[in-house]
This record gives sequence, structure tokens and C-alpha cells, in this order.
Amino acid sequence: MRTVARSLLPLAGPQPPGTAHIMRLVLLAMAPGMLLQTLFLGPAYLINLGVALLTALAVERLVNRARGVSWPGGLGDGSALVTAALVVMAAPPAVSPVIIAAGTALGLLLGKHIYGGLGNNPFNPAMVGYAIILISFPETMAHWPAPPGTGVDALSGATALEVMNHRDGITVADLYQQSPLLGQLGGAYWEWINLAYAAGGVFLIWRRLIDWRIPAMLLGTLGLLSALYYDSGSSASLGSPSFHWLSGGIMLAAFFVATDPVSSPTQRQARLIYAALIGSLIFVIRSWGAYPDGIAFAILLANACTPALDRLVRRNATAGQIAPQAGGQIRTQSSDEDVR
Amino acid sequence: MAETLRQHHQARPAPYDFTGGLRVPGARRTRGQPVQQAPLAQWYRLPLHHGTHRLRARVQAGDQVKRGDLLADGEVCLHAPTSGTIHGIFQGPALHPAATSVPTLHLQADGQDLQRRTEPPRLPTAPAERALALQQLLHHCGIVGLGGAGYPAWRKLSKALTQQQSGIHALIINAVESEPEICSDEALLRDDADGVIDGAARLCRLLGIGQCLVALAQDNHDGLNALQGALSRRPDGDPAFSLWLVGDKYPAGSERQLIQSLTGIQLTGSAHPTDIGYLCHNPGTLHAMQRALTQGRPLTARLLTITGPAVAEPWHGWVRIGHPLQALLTDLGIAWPQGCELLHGCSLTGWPLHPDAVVGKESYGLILRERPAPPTLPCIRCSACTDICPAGIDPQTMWQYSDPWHPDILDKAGLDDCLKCGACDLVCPSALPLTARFRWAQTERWQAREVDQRAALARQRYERHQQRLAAADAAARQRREARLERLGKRRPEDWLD
Repeated sequence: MRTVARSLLPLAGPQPPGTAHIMRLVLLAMAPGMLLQTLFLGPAYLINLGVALLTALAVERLVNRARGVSWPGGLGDGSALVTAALVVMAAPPAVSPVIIAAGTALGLLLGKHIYGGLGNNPFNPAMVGYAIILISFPETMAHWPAPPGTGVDALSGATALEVMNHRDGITVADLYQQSPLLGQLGGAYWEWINLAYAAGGVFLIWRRLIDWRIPAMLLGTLGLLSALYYDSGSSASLGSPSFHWLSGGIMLAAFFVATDPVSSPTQRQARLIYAALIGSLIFVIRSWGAYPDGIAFAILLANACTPALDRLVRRNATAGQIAPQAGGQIRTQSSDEDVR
Repeated sequence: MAETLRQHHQARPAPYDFTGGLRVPGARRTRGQPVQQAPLAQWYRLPLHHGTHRLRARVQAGDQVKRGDLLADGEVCLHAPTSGTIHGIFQGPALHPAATSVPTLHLQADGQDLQRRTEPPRLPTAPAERALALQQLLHHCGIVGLGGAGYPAWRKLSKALTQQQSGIHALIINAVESEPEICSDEALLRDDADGVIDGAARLCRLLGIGQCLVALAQDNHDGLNALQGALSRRPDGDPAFSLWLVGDKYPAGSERQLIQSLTGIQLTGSAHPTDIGYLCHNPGTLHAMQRALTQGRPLTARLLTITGPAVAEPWHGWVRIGHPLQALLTDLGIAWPQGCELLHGCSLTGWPLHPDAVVGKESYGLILRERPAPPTLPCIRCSACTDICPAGIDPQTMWQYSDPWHPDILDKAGLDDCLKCGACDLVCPSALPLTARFRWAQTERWQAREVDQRAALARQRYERHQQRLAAADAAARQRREARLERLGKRRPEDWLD
């Protein structure tokens, strides 16, 4: 984060923002996207959200008691609430609250606490929880409702990404004519949801709470790959960059999941590689994988690479090194008189 | 005329910048206040200890001493801060975060504050002898780096003279106090900039240094004015003085960061400024050197800032070395409430003092603040510390690998390069005590290496001893063979037949 210190100090007073404050701001930044998603896809999200938050609180409290950590110490960081919200928003609204609760609890337990709690988890807990329920309940988890007003059978459960993948050899332009589900760019309503998440992400970048490199590199790689395979919208096209940028949960992933400080690399160069890896994996899974949107798997795979990436670029201390910067040194008159 | 001279000593911004660092909020509350004198204490206590070195006492209980009399010597010489009677040697805390119990000399002041008569030293004219005599003088006057590290000035000089084959080409006066609260150097410049400049000029002349760079913070207007005034009063024949201003980024006043700002050269590991031909001194040290060079007076007092959130009226002034801190605070009317800690240094680099601690030669500031709550939040690997680290190392990796203890990774991550500047503590969103951990880890590593070195030395000695024994054995056998040869090959076993 470049850097909490340098620019947040004038905004947040003399003290740096605490971890809990950061998490509150992250939830605040997610709020517009969550609101739009609830409006367009159904109020069931509110129930799921409530259940997930309560589950997160309960799990944190139980685990903290078991580990002997005091209440404010364990929950005060607020990261469990972010995890719960991410699990809910990554899943379709019609998923049973029981499944959501299971995903949240398993994400926190198997994704975080089993490694020693916040700061020690190699994987993003929300993505662990989401991946577990995605694999366990593939039918339910793939069942996305069509947004209102698209005139599509609400039970078909197809998303824009699926429509794009299974369009039987028609051009992209024709597809946009045929299927109202695609909306203008990346799926009806989904483009607005994604833009709302992106706006929240930009807010976090402005407050310097996340590193701009990760979303920029992630979206850049995704855009570059989709541009390479766009094939000017022919029948073999895999979709335009704007389609890939605005469909599915891409903005939520790019700004809120991939930037998780714990499971992403700490070195700047490593972060660039990490984000590029996620971007290309998302494109590969979307285009040629079995899952319509492979964000969770892309992020988990990249998380697994994080320690290696950090080690790849980590600076090694060199004893007694004198490293001149470009430009050399001040010219000083050396004395004629011998010192010794 | 004076105007043109001032023009001549125009301050310039430092040509380079150092990596990392941050702007620290907070005001220097004592800025512009007059420099005071601390009242005399009834008792002074002097730990017979400097850094990791024990000092030998040169006085006995019952001795009458005057201010400036030698009390102890060794790595550093200690002198009586005032006149009085030596009460004895007792155990007391060393001036160190661990506050180890060390022998401490107790001096009962008689209140008359009599001074030992000193004479201006006469230094030889031949350059080699002069440099040696200068080292001896600095040692005998007990002068150490007053900027906080307390490194003996004579040692710095001897390193500079022996390591640097091409000589020292510039003296740097480091008057950049980048610590957020401390005003000691600025106060000294306002009080006696002439003394500082005179000390620097004398040192340069003695060592044949042609150039003197004076570095100070860009917002230190009083210090700059005082320096320009002092420079305009200087006679001819001085080294070339130049004034340099560095930005308000912390830790601009750290030696390595200042060298980088001035020269663009980044020193890491065990590299010192003297390796690239610079001798770097704090103005306080040069002021003490001026006293030593002109009057032969040893170091018995220093400038000190006392401030902090728990201090209503901050204070700065001259304090004698060995003044007990509790007595000092009481005399100055500063309460030390329960739940508050007194930090040695500034609020970023400082460490909490033992209640019985005393003012040392390296005490440039005291901060009284509420004891912070222990951290309750874990590291979330946000990298805020890595981004601002002025030494360019990775604090969060070091935090992670210092508990559980992984010395190899710590060494590789650059633990030895850590300046303990405290910048990472300031930006950590989980408020982790990173600097305290690294201070402990460094000590731990140094001790482990010392044990390793001692073990290696002992092994070497043992092996050499074994070799000598074997050699002696072989020699004895040879002699015996030769004697038998002379006796006609009549071995003892032959006689048995």
C-alpha cells in the first residue's frame, strides 16, 4: 500500500488508520455494488447477508474463545465481516441461507483460523468458503436469476458469460441483437453492478488502502488477452475486453478480493506478476474451463503462488554495500595536505 | 560587507533524496524557547558502563573531586559533573533498554560546583603525531557522539584515519533533527553557533580537511540564521563551509540517510561514512570538541529536550551527565504520573527508561507519555512498513520471522541494516511494536554471533594446542631415536633377551 502513511496521515489525523478502520472502509466501498446487486437480482441477498454476518460473528467468537484471544483482539479487526459479505455477494441470491452460512463458517475456519488467524492465512478466506460451496452445490451455485425486464425465462439460470460461451457459432454483434441478457456491454444490469464495485475500488485506491497495481494489472491482462482473442467479433470470438471487464464478479474480484493484503504478495514487482496471473487465469477458465466464471479458482491458485513470488523478488541484504545512485556524488575539494 | 558574506553562505537544498521515509506530524514544542540550565542535583550517579564496555573506576569512596576530574576510564572517560565527595560504587541500571544492573558511581555534590583548572592542549605539528594526539585528547576529554548513538569520537576518528587511505575529504555537521519533538541541536545553534563552527574549523584544520558541509532541516530558520551569523564572523583561513537544507521527511537526520541526501551514495550493511571519505558529527559533539581543543575541558554536560504528550511545559537546556532523571523532573516541576513512561530519545526511536536511570552522554531527548497498550491485532501484511522503510528492508518479513525465531531469514532480510528509526511503528495499522522487536532481535543476533566467534576462537586455540603437543611429541620421539642410534641400536627391549 503506497502508502497508508504518506497520504492517509493528513486525512485521518496523526494516528494511522487501524486495521478495524480499514475493514470498515472496505465494507463502505463495497456498499454501492452490494446495493445495486440486491436491487437488480433480488432482496434474498439481504437475508443471506444477515445470516452470513451473524455466522461470521459466531465463528469468530467461538474460535477466539477456544484460542484464548480476547474479544476485541479477535473481532476488532472486522475482517470476518468483509469475508462474510464477499461470500454472499459472490453467490447467487437464491442460494439457501444454510449454504451461505456453511460457506462463511468453512471459509473462516479452513481458510483463516486453521492457519493461526488473520495475517497467517495463505488463501483468501472468502474465496476458500465460496469455492467449497461452489464445488459442493454446483447446481444451486450456478443458478443466477435473470434480471427483471430482460424477458428471459427467470429459471433458465444462464448468465451472460454462459450465453457468450454457448452461442453456436454466431457473431458477437448478432448475439447482442438476439439476447437481451447481454445488455449493452457485459450483461444486463451486471455492467452497472460491476461499475458500482469499480467505483468503490477507486475510492479505496484514493484513500490508498489498496495498491492500484493489482486491479490495474489484473484488468489490463484480462483486457489484453480478450483483445487478442476477440477476432473482431467473429463467430469464434471469445468476447470483447469491455464484455470481460463488465461481466460476472470481475470488479468485486479485482478491487476487493485480489487486493487482500494478507494473501497477496508484499513486494511491488511480485504484485504485478500476481495480478497478471489472476487476470490470465480468469480469462482461461472463462473461455475454456468448465466453470462459466473461474474467479475464485484463479485467485486461490494465485494465492498459492504468493510466497514463491515474494521470494522471487525479495531483496537480499548485502553486507557493507555502497550503492551509488545515478548522478554520483558531490564534488569535494580534496585537501593537498596529507593527513597522516 | 556582512551582507555579502551572508550571501556567500547561502543555504542550498540537498541535491539528492533518500529512499523511503515519511512526514511525521507533530510540533517541536520547545522551538524558540530560551536555553536553560538545569539546577544542580544533590546526588549524581554515573554507571561505569558505555555501550557494551565496562569502565574502570579511578577514584575511591571518600575522594574529594572537582568538576572535570577523571572518575573512570576505558572505552570512554567519565568525569565528575560537579564538585563533591565520592560516596561509593553501588549497582544501578545501565543506560540501555535492558537496564542491566551495572556498577554505578555515586557522587554527593557539595553545592559549590568547583571546577578543575584545565589548560589549552598543545598538539604536535607533525601530521601523524597530531592526529594521534587529537585522538588521545578526545578520549581523555570523554567525548562521544552526542547525536544519540554515543559512539566514542576518538574511535570514529581512528577508524577514519586508518581505513580511508585517501584521507577524509569533508566534514559533515549533522544538525538535521528530524525527530518530531526534539530541539536540542537547534537550541545549541541558537545558544552557541560560534562554538560549533569554531570546533568544526579547528577539527578540519587539524586533520587537513578542506571542506565542511553543514546540513540542517529546511524549517530550522533560527538555526540557519545563527549559523550564517557565526560564519560571517569567521576569520580567513577556514575550510570551505557550505550550508545544505534537507526536507522534512523523517529520518532525514539519520547518518546514512543524510549521506544519501548529500552525496547520492546509499550505505548498507557495515559501511560507514568514513569508508567514502566523510567524517560525520553532530553539532553537540563539535561544540564539546571545541571546549576540549581550546580549553582542555572534558564533557560533563549536554543539551537535552524534555517534552512529550504528558509534559505540560516542555523544557530544554544544559544538564550535567549523571543527573538522576527522577530528581531532574522533580526539580523542573514536571510530574511523572503513574501509567506514564519516560522514553530515552524521541517518541519514534525511544525506549522506556528504568525509573533509576540517569542522564547519559547520548541522552538528547526525554519523552514522557502514557504507556501504550500492548498490541492486540496481528500483522495483515499490508506492506505499509516496507514502503516507508528508509533502510530499504522489509520490516514485515522480519516481524514474521522473529517469532518463531529464524535467524537465517532475519539476516538475509537485512536485520543489521535496521536503523531502528521507528517509522514502521508509526504506519502500522495494527500498531505493532516493530522497532522494539527489531532492537531485541539485533541484540540477540549480536550476542549469538559473539558466542559463535568465541567458540570458533576456542576451537582454534584447542586445535593449535593439539598441534603443538603433537609436534612436541614427534620431536621427543626423534630425539629418542637419535640417542638410541648413538648408543648402538641397543633398544631397551634388546636387553630383555
